[in-house]
Amino acid sequence: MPVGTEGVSINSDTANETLLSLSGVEVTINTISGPVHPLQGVDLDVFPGETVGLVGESGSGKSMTLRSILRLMPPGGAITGGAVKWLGNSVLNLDADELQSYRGSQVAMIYQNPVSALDPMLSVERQIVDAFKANRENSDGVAEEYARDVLRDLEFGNPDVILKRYPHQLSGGMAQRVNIALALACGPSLILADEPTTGLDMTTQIRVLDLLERQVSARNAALLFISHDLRAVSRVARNIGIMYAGQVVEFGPRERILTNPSHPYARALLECMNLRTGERPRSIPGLVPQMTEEYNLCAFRNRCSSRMAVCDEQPLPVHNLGERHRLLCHLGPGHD
Amino acid sequence: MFLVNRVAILAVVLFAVVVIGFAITRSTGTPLYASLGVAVSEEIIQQRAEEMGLNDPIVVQFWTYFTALARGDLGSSRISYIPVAEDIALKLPATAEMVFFTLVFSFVWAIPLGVRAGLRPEGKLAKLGEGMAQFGVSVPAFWLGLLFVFLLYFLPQRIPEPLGPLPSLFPPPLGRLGGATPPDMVTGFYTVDALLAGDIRLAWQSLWHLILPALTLSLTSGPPLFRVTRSAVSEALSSPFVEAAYSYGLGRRTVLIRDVLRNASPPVLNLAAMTFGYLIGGGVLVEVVFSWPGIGSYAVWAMNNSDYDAVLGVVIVAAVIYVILYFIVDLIQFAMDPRLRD
Repeated sequence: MPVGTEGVSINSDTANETLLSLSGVEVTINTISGPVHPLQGVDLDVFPGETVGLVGESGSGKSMTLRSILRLMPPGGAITGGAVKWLGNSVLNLDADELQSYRGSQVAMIYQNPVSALDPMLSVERQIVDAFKANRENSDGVAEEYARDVLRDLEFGNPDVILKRYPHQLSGGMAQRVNIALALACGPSLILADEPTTGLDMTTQIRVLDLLERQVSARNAALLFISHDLRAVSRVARNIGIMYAGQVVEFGPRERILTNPSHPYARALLECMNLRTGERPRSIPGLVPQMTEEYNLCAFRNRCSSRMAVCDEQPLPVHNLGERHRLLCHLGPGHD
Repeated sequence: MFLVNRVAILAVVLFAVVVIGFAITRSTGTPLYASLGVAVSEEIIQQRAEEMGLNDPIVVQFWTYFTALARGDLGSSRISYIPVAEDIALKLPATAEMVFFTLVFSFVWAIPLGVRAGLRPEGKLAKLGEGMAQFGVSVPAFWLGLLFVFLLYFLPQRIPEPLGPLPSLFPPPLGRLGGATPPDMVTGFYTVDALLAGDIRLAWQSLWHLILPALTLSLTSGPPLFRVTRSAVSEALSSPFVEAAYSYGLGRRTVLIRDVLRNASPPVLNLAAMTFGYLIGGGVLVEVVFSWPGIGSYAVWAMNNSDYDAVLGVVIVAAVIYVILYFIVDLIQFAMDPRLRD
């Protein structure tokens, strides 16, 4: 086990306890041009040590979901409904001190743009050491040693050189590995990854993804990974959620979601990404919904090929299909 | 590399200042009449022009001036015959001291309020800062100075009997000390020199005299500092690395000092240096209101008389101060910002 990790012990008792549970989470952001509702009832569970992926178009609420887990709201933004629970305790009720110790040491995040997520004025060493010390007691003296070790874990051949560097001296792939090191240095039980490989070229993407997956599992931590790229998500995640208009419309084990999804949007998404046929990738007709609206009915129905009369009349039902497979659609299971 | 670059730029700036300053002074009048009066014959005027070298080709005049300047000689006043360097050495510290305390005041109100306004744009202190900034930019400095003199000196004196004349809270606007003997010149800052001489009363007195002019200038020159600080802090605050720092469980205070203020400081430092340089020459109206024997008043007197060397001397000294300040700011930023070191 790598130095300094405090991973959650996985035994038969705790393995079934939910690490993180979101239910009906709503976020509202007040902007100059009126309120925006990026999250409209997100339900999501993460268990200890597992990897979960969330897929969706930009604007579907993926990043906001991660931010609501850490209660990092943009200016004017607030969690206006639902519950975020960490090991059964409400995150929304934490006071400032409790929130500070929850962030980092329980849940840490890896950001989309690796270079701008690092303070340009501070050395890599200072940033890792500060993140390490913020989350552990009596860490004097061992922090520098830890920084070197974690960089070695992230396949930096010469950690001492990297420690002395500044963010502008790192390539995108190196900067993202430093960001991963920062998140790991906090020793969290859950790592949130916000499109961590989007800005990187294809070969670097795969390398960083594999590295992330390996280091997270070596620390027995759970990983919640979001991306608009279904292939990246399916490479890493055991369970996959599909997001649309601020909701997780379908959630389930990777095999089910990839081979036989039930939600029409999930199917359309899969068809778009199915490149094996050699056809030109298609797009889903219609426009991405405006998040200035609050949707009481299905937000996808205007683009849906299976639209029924009930879709225009009744709010979405929740179908639990077993094995954590969950669906928000009037069609229900077993159609087609 | 960055520093070499900066030094080269600053040298070019100084040379350009000398050339342009020279051209402008020579093309906008002659010191002959101020030095001789108007009731003299054409003959005498011609003779004097010859003596002063004013009949030489302009290039020769420039060369004469420039070679003297290269030796550190700023020339002498054509009217009083006092060496320009001597006059400036006497008057510059007066202005520098006033401007220094102006910046001290600005650092006390504009920067803290700017930081606060950047952190809490809707807060009461943000509104207070914006109110002060609006007031400061819309009110002329000389008028504000007069208002202070009226309210704090003139009015209290006229409070009628029963109460009797209250001791004036602020000293009469009579220069730097109001009649006391100045301390022996060491730095030219009366507050510092008085302390060096061990005269705390005198230091207190000169500080007291500084308050109103410095406060006036601070209120009118501080608004840009407030606004730049506010926007720099608000920009730093919305950077991804600040959110990331919070997400690692770093505390509010740590993030504020380690990330937000550090990244917000370069534009603020730059503007502070610029403000200092500007006020060296630009505080002249306030100098007049408070009878401050500073370099701004000296420059205006010299310009009115087309006293070539005196005007140029002030321009060059002001430019040198600018250049030195900018260089210091560059050094600080060089030390702070790793991106400049590559």
